[in-house]
Amino acid sequence: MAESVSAVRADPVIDVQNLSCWFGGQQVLFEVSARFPAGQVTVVAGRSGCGKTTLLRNMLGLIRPQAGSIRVFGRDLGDMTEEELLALRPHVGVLFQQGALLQSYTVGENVAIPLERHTNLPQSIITSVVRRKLQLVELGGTDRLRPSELSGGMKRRAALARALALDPEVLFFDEPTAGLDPVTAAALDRLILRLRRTLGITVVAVTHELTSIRRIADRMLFIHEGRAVFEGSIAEAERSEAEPVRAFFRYSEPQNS
Amino acid sequence: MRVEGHTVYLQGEITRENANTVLNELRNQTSRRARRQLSVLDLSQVTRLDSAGVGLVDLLGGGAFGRPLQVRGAQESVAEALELGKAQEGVYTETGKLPFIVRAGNALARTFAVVWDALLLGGEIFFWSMVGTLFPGGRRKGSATAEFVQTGVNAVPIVTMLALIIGVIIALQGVVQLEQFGGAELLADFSGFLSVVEFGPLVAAIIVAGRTGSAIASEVGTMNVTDELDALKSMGIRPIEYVIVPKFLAMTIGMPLLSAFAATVAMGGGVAVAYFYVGTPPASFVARSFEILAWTDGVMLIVKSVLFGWAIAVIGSYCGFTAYGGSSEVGRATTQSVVASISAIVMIDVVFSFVYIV
Repeated sequence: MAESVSAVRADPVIDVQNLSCWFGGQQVLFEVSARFPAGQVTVVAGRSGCGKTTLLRNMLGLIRPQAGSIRVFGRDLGDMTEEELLALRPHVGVLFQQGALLQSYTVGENVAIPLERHTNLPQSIITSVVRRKLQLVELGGTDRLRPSELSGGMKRRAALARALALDPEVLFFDEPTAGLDPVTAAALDRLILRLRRTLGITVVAVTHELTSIRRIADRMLFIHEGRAVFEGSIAEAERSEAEPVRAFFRYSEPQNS
Repeated sequence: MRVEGHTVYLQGEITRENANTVLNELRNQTSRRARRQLSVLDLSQVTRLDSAGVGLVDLLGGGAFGRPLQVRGAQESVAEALELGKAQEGVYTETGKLPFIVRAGNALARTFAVVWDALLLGGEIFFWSMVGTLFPGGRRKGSATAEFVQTGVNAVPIVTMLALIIGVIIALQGVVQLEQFGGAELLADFSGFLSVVEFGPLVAAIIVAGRTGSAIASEVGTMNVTDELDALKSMGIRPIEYVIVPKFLAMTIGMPLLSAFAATVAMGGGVAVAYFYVGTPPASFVARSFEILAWTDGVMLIVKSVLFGWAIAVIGSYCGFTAYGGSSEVGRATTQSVVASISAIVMIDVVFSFVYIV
């Protein structure tokens, strides 16, 4: 699996073509096309309820594409069996909103889950990998604590350590800094940038925090009412003529609210 | 992987696919004694390390084979991988494992602290219940009655069933033993008496601990986890007065009634066995039972069952109040409340049995 994935790892890592999605009778995504280049941070932005999370869930294979196609590492998600999707999972890390740590496990056990599930490594190596990952997110020594003993920002970082456990090539963030104070949010953003720089990870981040977007984004995909209305660099986004994008930047500035 | 002298040479890519193999090779190719002599880990021929590879290097460098190996010769990309997440001055320092005697002492001290806290809470609940009896304004109207129905009335079917079965079992076992001495007609002395002083209150209490004690713990625990208790406080309402006191009052009234009921039903089981097995008329069984029982036994039943009820209510509340964090904590609190309540019931019962003998 490792060979086949790296062999086809061509630009872009994820390629979405004309993706549409319905919930019941209601169409949520309208022929969205987007490319997520390797080694870059792409931010998916848009107002609440615009379909950002639905797009993310489609790209993760949690929802099967109903129309259009999603190619991940060059392979079409729609053609993959459930087994093949499962085999793809170790190459993709996800940081859910609020972290989604399992409350009944310790922090260390949470980080160890993917390693125990997807590798045949002995416990001794798993333990030292877990220690490394926790140190990477500056949570060294917390492995025996319970998630309930961590603060919001720490939970988010512990979940990031879990998402990184298998050295994924792509990392998805769902609102990574939502609800965090500016200092903690900035620290998490720095960590994202550091991972991109040192590990060459491709990052897809769903967020609407402009400060955070300015810090981390190489590129931006803007969704408005289920349609991709803008795709390009962050500098281009700021000059964009599209009204939803302009409104987004205008209302994100504190003096205009 | 090869070993030369005191040096281990790793080669090529070390990833999660082969880290295990490399570790096993090293174990197989070297004797235990040779491994203890190793001192250097050479990475100059390693082209790539993933996290598992780094984990392996950490393991060997950290002294997995007795002596920490000195890591050297890493190429730039490998060194970079080793740099990521390296031990630093963390916020948390890992406390090493304490000696057994210290851990045992800590556990004992914690147990005492928990019991003391629970007793203090019990005192507080008792105080506010007294206040609540005199001035019922502190709780929602009708809440104590609703709790009474839930705790006492709704438990009647299950209590009936279990008390009857246990009454029959005790009588049957008793009759078999008594027959050996030709004293089958003494069954009433034995089963009627035990039903009232022992099995009635015990069966009722264990069922209430399982039904109501766990419900109190999970309700209060959920309220705690979801900040409802803090919300009550912020509205100027004492959680104990508002949430616990109705349950406590319901328990105070409900437990003795339920115990007396259970005792009667259990005695009914004895009556049935005596009638069908020995041929004792029910009237003489009951009459004999009441000859044996003194009025103090009735008082004992009431006092004991009230104490059982209080223990259940206080332990349930305590477990609920100390649950914080998440959903799993509520489950833990619920389980703990049942275990602790039943332990407390049995301990109170032991004390009463001694009092009875004296």
